[in-house]
Amino acid sequence: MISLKDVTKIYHPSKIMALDHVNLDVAKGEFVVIVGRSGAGKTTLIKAINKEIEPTSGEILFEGNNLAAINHAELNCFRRRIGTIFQDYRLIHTKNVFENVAYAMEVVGASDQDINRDVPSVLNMVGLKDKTRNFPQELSGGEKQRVAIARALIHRPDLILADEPTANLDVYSIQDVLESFLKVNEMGTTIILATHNQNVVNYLKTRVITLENGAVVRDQQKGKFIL
Amino acid sequence: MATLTKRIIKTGITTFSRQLGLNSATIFVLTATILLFTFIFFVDGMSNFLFNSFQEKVGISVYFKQEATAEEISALRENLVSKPGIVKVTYVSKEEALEKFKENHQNDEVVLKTLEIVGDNPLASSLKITANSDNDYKNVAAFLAQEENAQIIEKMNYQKTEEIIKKLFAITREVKRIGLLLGLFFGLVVVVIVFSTVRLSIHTLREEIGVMKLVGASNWMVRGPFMVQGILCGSIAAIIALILTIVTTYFSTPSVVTITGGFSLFTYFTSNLLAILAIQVLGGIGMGIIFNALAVKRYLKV
Repeated sequence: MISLKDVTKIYHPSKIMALDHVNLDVAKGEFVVIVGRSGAGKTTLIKAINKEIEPTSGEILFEGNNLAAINHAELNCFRRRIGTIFQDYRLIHTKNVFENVAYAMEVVGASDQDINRDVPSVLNMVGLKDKTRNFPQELSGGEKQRVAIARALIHRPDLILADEPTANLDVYSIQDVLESFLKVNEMGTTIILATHNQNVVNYLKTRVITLENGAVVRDQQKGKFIL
Repeated sequence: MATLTKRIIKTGITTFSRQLGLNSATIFVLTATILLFTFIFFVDGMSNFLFNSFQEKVGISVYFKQEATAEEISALRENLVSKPGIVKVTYVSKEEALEKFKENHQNDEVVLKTLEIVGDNPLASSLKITANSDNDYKNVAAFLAQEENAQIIEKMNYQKTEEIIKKLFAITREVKRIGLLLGLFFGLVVVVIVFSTVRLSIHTLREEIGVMKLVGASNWMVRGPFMVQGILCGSIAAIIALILTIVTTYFSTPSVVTITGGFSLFTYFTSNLLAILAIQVLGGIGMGIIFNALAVKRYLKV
């Protein structure tokens, strides 16, 4: 589904090499965990796949299409097939919890009827059914993270990109969220999850790719967290 | 498409109501801008009024010989009226001239006594000519100096007023030119201020615009609600400007009439209502839409 071919990303003007000739193939329906220390390149990798940043060199292919060559309309369509959970949540502050989650459905053209049916259900799943009318600034870090997770799952995307999705969650919530991920993965959704939480990796027992200084140093099927 | 439009309008209205503080700054500068353009419109009307008043005062007067017949004078008048650049040609008969003269000297017994002694009406009939420009006056003077006209003309005052006419028109041209330049300059300044205010308010939402793009929103889904907010800001600003214009023109009319010698702001406002509404409503909404769309544009490249 996703192929990275010799992808390098150098940030200017610091000239930091965030990704160093990364080669990676993720098949449809696969659950891949990206691990590594802070600054290893996990977030850059997620951003490059979501086309939030452009690689300095190399190619990223989505279902065989080079992301560098797609036009504006195709980019919108590509992103509608992805559910992204950002490390810094990236909620829309002028919208309340319900509207933030509903926005992902509005973008894909869902009807009001579907939105009014699905959004409360997903918010209930992430434990926010009592906060639907609250605004992001009225939520804790963990609650914001759960809104971001709900937004990423609501439109049943083909691919979920999750950057430290459990960073601000308590132990019980982490387990609930990971179970949700495993469930949607079982239904065929591809998931790429970046984390530095050893418990998360060990709980998921899926393919683990380790990044170090921007380079892939280990790729294990059903791997464990190794530092 | 209908669902998308409905959502854009709904989002625009909701966001507008949630960000009244931020939008009130935009409404304020938009109101100020609309009022400035309205003010320029009124100044233009007033300066035209004053210019026309001066024009009427500096015209050429042509006095006819006693033997000139009414038909000859009428024919000359018709000829003058048909010429380009002529604003007005007023005929003053000998009798009217005498009446006016008596009226002007009603307290001067010596003059009135002298008139009685003379017996006959010594005054000549005349034409007062008003033209558009100093060049038109020059052409009129040349035409009147032609032999067939000169036969019935006793005298004309162009030689005396030529310099005054030239100076007056030069001053008027300069005032209009400076007025236009100042109007353009201030217009440009306020437009830049409005655009900067709108851009600043949208700059604070740049991250949210980025998020919308990252979840796959089309440019219209992002831009649309901002344009709806622009329409709302522009409409409110236009309504405020209109109310202020009505109140200001109504209450300042008496003093402006006194100062300008007859220019009524309120009458000018009511007789140009459509043009003023176009400036205020279309200007306000137009600026709201265009500036919002332009300000959002730079953040859409995510």
